[in-house]
Amino acid sequence: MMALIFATLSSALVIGWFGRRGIAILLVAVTLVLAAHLFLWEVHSPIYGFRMPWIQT
Amino acid sequence: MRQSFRTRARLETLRFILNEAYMLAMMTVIAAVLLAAMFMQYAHGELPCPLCLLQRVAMLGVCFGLMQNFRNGFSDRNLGYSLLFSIFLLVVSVRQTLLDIYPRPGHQYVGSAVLGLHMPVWSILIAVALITAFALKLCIVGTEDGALPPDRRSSFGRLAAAVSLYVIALALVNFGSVVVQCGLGECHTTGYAMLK
Repeated sequence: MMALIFATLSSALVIGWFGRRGIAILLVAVTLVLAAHLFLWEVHSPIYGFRMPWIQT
Repeated sequence: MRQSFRTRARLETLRFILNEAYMLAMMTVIAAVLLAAMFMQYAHGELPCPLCLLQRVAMLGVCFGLMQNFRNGFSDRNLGYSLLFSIFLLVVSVRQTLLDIYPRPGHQYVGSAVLGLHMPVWSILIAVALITAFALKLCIVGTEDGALPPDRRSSFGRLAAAVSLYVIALALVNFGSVVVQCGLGECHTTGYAMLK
């Protein structure tokens, strides 16, 4: 998943450099969606969910 | 009347130059931060955690918006892409700091501290600095929506192209590094998956 995120981001940067703005923006949007999905997956705990009970509020 | 017109034209030129220099300086600083992170990885053997890699993605995403200004013309949309990734950087780094703020088995800051602060805490400061820099840019320089990119043959245009290509090279090196570290699965900080 992380490799895919870096692949889409690198492609967006390279394609944007060559002036294909529409495709580059589409790829960077895909990157952001994939990165947000991976972030939520990484921080989700099977025990605590998204909560952080070690922090007293 | 004519003098007033000239003064206004000079101010507009100054504003445009300031805008270009400001954007280029921001991209250079982000590139330097990414280079420092890669130095820690390759020279000191501190492999990045998954959330650390997502912070690199966010910084490269900020550079995407800045780079588009120099390639395809200045636009508020490009500013929007950079701001979106700045906010993503802030969210990821705050969450990582909160995860590791209370040391317990399996949860402590990865890597060594730089000037007393660990990497996710630095990322919070960088994200706040980026958002503040964009806000200050809008307050002081204003919008340059629709302005043409710098002439590619000018010295400034060449400098912008060099920094942009440098950022692209950093992204490609990071891509290769992620493939070696994570393969096509989960990322771990214990070693490079493809080298085991």
